[in-house]
Amino acid sequence: MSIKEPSHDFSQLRSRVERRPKHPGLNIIGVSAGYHDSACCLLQDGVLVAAVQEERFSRVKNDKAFPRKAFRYCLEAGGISIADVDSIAYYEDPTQKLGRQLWMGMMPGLPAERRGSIFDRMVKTQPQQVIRRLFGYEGPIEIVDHHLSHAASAYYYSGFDDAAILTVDGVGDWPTTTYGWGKGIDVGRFEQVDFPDSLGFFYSAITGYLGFEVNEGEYKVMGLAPYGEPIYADQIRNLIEVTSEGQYRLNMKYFAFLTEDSMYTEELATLLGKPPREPESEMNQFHMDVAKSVQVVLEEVMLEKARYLHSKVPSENLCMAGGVALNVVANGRCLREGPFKRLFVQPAAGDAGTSLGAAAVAHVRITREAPVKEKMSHVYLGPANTSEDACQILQTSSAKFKDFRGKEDELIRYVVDRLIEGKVIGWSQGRMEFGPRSLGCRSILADPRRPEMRDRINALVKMREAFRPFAPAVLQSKAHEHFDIDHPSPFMLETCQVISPIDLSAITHIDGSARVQTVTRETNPRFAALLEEFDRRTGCPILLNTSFNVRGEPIVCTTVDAIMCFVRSQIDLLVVEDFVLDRAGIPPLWDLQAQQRFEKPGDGEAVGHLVYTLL
Amino acid sequence: MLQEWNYWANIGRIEPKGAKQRVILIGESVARGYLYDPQYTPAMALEKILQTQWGKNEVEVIDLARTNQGMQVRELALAVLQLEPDAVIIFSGNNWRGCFPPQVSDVPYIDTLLREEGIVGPKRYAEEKLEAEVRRIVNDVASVYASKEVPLVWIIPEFNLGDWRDPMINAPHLLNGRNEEWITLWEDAQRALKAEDFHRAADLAQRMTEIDQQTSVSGLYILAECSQKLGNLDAARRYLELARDSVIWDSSKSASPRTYSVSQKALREETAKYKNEVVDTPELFRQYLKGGIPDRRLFLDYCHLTTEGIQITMAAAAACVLRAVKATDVAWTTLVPQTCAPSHEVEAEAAFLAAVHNAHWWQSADLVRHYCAEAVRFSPEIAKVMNYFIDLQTRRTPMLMCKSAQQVSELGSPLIQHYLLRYNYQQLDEILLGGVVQALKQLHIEAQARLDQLRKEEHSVAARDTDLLDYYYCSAGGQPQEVVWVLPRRDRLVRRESHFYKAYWLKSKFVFIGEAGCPVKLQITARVPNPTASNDPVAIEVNGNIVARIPTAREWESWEVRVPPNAVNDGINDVIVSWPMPEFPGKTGYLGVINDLAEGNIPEFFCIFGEIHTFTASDGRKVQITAPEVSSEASVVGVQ
Ligand SMILES: [Fe+2]
Repeated sequence: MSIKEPSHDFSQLRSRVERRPKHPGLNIIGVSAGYHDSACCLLQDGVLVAAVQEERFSRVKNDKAFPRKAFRYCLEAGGISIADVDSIAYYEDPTQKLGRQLWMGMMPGLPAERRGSIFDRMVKTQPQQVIRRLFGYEGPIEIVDHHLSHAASAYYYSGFDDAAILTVDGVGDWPTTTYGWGKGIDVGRFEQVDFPDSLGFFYSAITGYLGFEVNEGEYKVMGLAPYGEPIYADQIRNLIEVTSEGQYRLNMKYFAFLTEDSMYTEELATLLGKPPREPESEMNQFHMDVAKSVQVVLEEVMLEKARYLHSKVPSENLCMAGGVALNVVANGRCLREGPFKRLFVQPAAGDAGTSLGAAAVAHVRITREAPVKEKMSHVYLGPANTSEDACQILQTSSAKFKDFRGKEDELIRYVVDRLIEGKVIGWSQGRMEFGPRSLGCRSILADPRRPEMRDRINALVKMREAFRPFAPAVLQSKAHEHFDIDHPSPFMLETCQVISPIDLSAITHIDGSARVQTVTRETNPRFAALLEEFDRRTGCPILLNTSFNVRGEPIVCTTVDAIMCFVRSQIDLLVVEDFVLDRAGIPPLWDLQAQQRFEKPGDGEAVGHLVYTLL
Repeated sequence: MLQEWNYWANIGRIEPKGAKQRVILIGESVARGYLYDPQYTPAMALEKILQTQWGKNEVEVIDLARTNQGMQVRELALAVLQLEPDAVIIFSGNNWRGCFPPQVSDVPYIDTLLREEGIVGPKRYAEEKLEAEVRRIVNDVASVYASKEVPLVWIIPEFNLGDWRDPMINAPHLLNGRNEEWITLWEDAQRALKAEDFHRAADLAQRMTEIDQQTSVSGLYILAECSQKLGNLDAARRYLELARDSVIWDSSKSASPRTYSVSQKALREETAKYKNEVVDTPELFRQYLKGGIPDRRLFLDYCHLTTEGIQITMAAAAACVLRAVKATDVAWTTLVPQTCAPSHEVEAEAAFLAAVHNAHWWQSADLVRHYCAEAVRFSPEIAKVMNYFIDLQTRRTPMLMCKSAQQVSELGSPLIQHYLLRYNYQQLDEILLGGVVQALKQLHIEAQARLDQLRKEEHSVAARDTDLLDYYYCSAGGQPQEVVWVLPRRDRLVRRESHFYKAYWLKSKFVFIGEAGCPVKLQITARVPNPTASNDPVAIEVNGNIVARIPTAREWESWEVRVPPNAVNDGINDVIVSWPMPEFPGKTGYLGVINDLAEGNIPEFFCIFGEIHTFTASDGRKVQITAPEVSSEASVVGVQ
């Protein structure tokens, strides 16, 4: 710290200092954090400029820590500094949440340990203080009720002028299900179901019983369901009593989440007649039947409540959000069999998407105007990698790679050739997707006509359960020729029947359905170009598309993430921006890098680890 | 799993005990032989001596030292009894840390201590806790060994008092609120040192330590330096020991591992009760150095030993084993020649790794250059590693993805593979790469031009914007407290800390890579969060010339500074932000500490001088996309 005194001879210098005036726009940052899947977004004059989950930066799957890097990214993407932020909108009401936690802490017969952990959570620093301390932000903070955030995340981004709104999740602050409406700039609620009655937890309990991770494995249950018969539906109906209006009640005999760390009680096993499935153990027909049964019961309840909602809010439009709205099969049924004509589901329907809703609500509160009322057309709201950076990395490495800069047509043709050869492609292009799905910017792609692709990708790349089907991405203009769908489905949020003359077994579910993403040049030109070329060569405008990650890891974000995932997995070919690598071109040392990036030291250990690094 | 494996010796399994005498060595990285292991280890040095004494097939040393071993050494010591040892050596203590931050239940007590005594209260609390814990470890282990009649040898670790310097930092919030006086004394003492007026410097430093009650290294280091210059080695040693011990309370910046005085004392006193054999390395080294202060001759860093240090320590340990197992008394000095040493190539690699390690732990250019010079002195072969290192350290591509890392790997050295390719982190490394270039010059290899060229290619602001707060650049400021928030690999641990730059001193140093003739635009968003003692503005200097004076503001404000081409150096440019003197909060500063402790946050013991949210440097020639209007304040600002 021996810093020398400055010289005072600046006759040579003519420096200029200017205060940068505040950014003229209204800059609202939306934040969701603390429970699951933290995220940040920036709404600039009502335009959604950026949105990203913290896990993509921290590389901790479903990271729930405050989104500090996501916050910085949003500032950067908006070309603003912290001094330009007008409001931070927070996705839940800490006071309401505290109320629920207090109520839980006072449950009779609560084990001391559990009580202790609830009270620990209660004395934790309030989110407003965390925002001030972590972000250094001193301006106004808008607190937005959790389900209002969900509702707004669907309605304000739906493009509808009026809609009925249904939100369903596990739990936020108090409610677990809400019924409401959107009209013009206003969003209202007329009824809610309160914790502990929760459709989300109802489904999660069975998820846990089936040996999947709660809050994570729900979509696996949905994927498993078509293999089964709903022969346990009657038993499962015992878990939930559907009552009048929007209400329902859980039969708490079967649920343990109020007092224990488990979701369900032993009574559930008794009811279904078999012990819970051990995680990672073999799956049998019983499990499939239970999955089908819970799916059927969920759909019944959802459909009934959607009809009820329509009776109160007779709009043609339905907006949905909340974790349960990620159940695309149930959504599809609500739309097909229910009274609504149109459905918009927030693509990031889980808690990450509440940052979008909270920001929109703050915008309305501040301006009394709606945020831009166009339907959300894409989710490419995350960081982009540049071709220059990819070039720099590859050139200073000893990797062998192909450079297609300025030759997009050639790149597309090259990749299509490889796809036709049956290669599995890691594809990283442009801005990263927000939300749980990869939609052609951080994707793994393959030829959907090859029946072996499903097992191959499942076993070698995703290291996941073989029963889960992959989703197709299809050129929107040709979607109707292959799928029973007559409207765009840009977010892979609907299922429909496969009607293609081509055998598409890798992306077709056992019940003949598929979860379709429709692609256009407007929102993803390079991905559309790839599909067009594949179609020209094969007559198939469809690619198998799955998220670019390996099991247990968040979807890749940077070029380095993509390369490391490529190295660690068995993907045949990597395409990052304008560059292509194959496995033979991987330098030996990259394995070590991939391994090190994957190491996740436990807390205690990491302190010591730090001490002895050459750092 | 793989990772855990790296901490232990590379032995697949331990054979059942045979006819050989079995000696087990347990402990932490210092016992592992950090930076030599697996090529050379204390266990090898010890085994060689014992085999010379007893015969090659008569004795084995089993190496169960583990890097990062902490107080769990107790459990390990008890567990190894299963292996039927004839003697066990425990070489541990550097990872026994002060128990700070405390358990939540102790927070009210800490609160009282702080309010009544200031930081010295928690410091004593941490010492008492640590001492009690060490006594418990020794008692737990020694009593069981006594009952089983297994001879036990303890090695009490020493610290690199002579050369290791914790980075100078400001005093924490002082009970008496005399922080500003403390700073003035420090500045005066620096001037006195420069003028070689050691009596005056010592006098000023003495007053600093009275004000801060020895809770900061700063005054103590000055006193040690003055004592050394005035020829009083014993006093110098005492001050250096006090400096080593002064940081026990400070959990905010991770101090290097060390064996505190209280640990050494507790080890001495408790082992004496059981009549255990003891190698008291502080005493041993003093004898060996004929009263000198232990330094780079015996240490590679804060606590890890050089070959010389290992040989002496293991000779003394062997003497203890001989006494305990064979009841023969042999002077350790006669055993030193019987041990083994690593090859020159291994010595060179260890010295080079030590240079990296010391540089990354903020040590002086002098010390870093010493290890670089040692490396080339031991073996010119190290030049290859050094050459590749310059490349991989300067790239923006992640280290292991660089071609140069591949080339390093192909050299096939286990040490370099293990330590450098595993644990190095890329940073600008002005001091370290300077040392490497200088060492290469000794071998008539010119590397400076290549380094300069590479730095410009990869980092020039003319090519791409530089985030001055990025660890790669910010680490070159030499201010460790300021970069904790961006420390790589740390962000998973400290999740609730502020995610922006905080200045803990009057000046904050940054660097960027510029090009001759290319103007630079600096963009800064900053604030001064605490009340200041004067109306002085925040000043920004580039290479010693003030380029901006900005009025202080409590709220974040963004500024753009155009630095003219003639103020920009080709290569590394220093940027210094000077903050106004704050009004120090005195004991009201402790309120925040207590809140933090109660909420389980890492407490903030220090005053914040200023905060920076973003700070970038870019090519000043680039046309601005959105030209901001010049605000009226600009005229108020001193524009040079
Ligand atoms: Fe939710």
